[in-house]
Amino acid sequence: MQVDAVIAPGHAGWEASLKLEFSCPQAPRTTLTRREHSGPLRVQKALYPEGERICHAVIVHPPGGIAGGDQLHVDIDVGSGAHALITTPGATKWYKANGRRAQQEIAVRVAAGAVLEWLPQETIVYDQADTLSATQVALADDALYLGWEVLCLGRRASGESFDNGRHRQRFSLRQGGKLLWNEQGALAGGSNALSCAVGFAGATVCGTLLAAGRPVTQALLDESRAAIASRTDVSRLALTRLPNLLAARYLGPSSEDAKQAFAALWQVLRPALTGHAAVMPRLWST
Amino acid sequence: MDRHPGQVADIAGNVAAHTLALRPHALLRLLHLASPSLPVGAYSYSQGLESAIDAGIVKNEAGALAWITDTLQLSVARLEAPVFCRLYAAWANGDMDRVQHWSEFFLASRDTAEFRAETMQMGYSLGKLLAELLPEHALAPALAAASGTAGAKNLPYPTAMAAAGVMLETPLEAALHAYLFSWVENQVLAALKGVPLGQMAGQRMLLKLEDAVVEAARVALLLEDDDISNWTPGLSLLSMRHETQYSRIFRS
Repeated sequence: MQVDAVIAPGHAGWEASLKLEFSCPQAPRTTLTRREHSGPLRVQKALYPEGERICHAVIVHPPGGIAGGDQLHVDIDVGSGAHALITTPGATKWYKANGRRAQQEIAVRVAAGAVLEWLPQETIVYDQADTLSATQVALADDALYLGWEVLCLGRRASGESFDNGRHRQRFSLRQGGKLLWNEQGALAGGSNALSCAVGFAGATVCGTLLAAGRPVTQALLDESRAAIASRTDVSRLALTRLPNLLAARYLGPSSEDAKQAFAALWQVLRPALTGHAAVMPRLWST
Repeated sequence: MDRHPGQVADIAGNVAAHTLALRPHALLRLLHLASPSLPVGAYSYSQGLESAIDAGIVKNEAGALAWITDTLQLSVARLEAPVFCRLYAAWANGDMDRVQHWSEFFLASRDTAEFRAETMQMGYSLGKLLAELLPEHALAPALAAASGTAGAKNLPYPTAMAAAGVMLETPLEAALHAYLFSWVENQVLAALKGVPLGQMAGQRMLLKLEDAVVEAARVALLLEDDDISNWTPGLSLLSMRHETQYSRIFRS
């Protein structure tokens, strides 16, 4: 699974979908009450490394990467009062296109008083990929979404840069129907947007962390800033506070650096916004 | 992000014809709206440029020119300007649902506290100005409603500027060019103060930026909803850093 699959030119494309529902029928326990999948996309089982309150799920995509023609759909409901944490065992990879666009759609709904933590490993976009990644998050009042995305352009480990192809991304987050955050755009390999300071400033890794749905106090913003002040070059990481939202950006050379900085922020944000201690998922330390 | 078939085609039709002929009154009104003396406080915002100067990214005239060109091309032409066009159409049609939709879309797409504060303050000021200048206009009640109730600020700048363009009967394509020129001029003024640079450098930059403005208008008029983009993480990061910048003369 760790070996990159060689995709034959005739690859017809996988259609895969996964539907998860977390609910809280017997408080405080969060239960994975629905788990349906078709195609190569699944969750093995619900895990409870921090006790019954918080249900952890690891989304696995056995082909190891998303190839041209693939269509992945992930649909997640977190019911009233439930608390779910979702992660992935390894990097999400968008392979070189074979003449067709690859697509991933993620829809997340978080009900009143519920929490979803979306803490995946990084996403790697191969040179010559052609992709569409679309995520929609819908929050009810007092729901919390605490999530990040770490995007790597090109396989840096093997010296590859993102010179050709296209990565198209959209992410929207609503609460009670009102749009709180929207980011959309298409990045062309080798374009000026990759090199200029307004765009990616020559960085190969771009990370975004959002804590959304609950008010963020000035004190929490200050505490978050303090948590990262000594960790990384200040020119690579910064924070802002918006209504019911805190956003952090990373722009730099290393997905490890980005994940460590975000994990440090998470250790401040999680206890403040959910009341639960930040216990690092063991998956991250491997 | 809803599609409006027809809207873009109409706009595209105007582009193909390259008509910018204006009635003299419309030209004068656009000069009025684009003037740096318009009391909306634009001079107090650098939109990330001061942070880029502080970070050593913009050090001289060439650097300022590159920064303004890139921001115009990657951000303004792909977010603020196409949203302005949609808002103009919405005001012209009296379609307040679309005004609300694109205002909310624009604000949610501005991804830092300073970018949001800036557009809301300038929009509020322009809204108040329009209410004073054109109290009898048919759109005045709708503008008052969009501005929100006492003290609440619900009118981002492109929404207010689109209302101004429609209320003063200035054609969209010309209004868009004026909007973009006024943005560029404000950036050039910020560069003169921030880098700092001399008046001649500013005048040279304004002339050199002409092609970029025309291109930005062309892109903005043709862009489909799905191709609107605010994905400029470098700009976003610099704006966030400006919040804690030690020494600063601009509010963004």
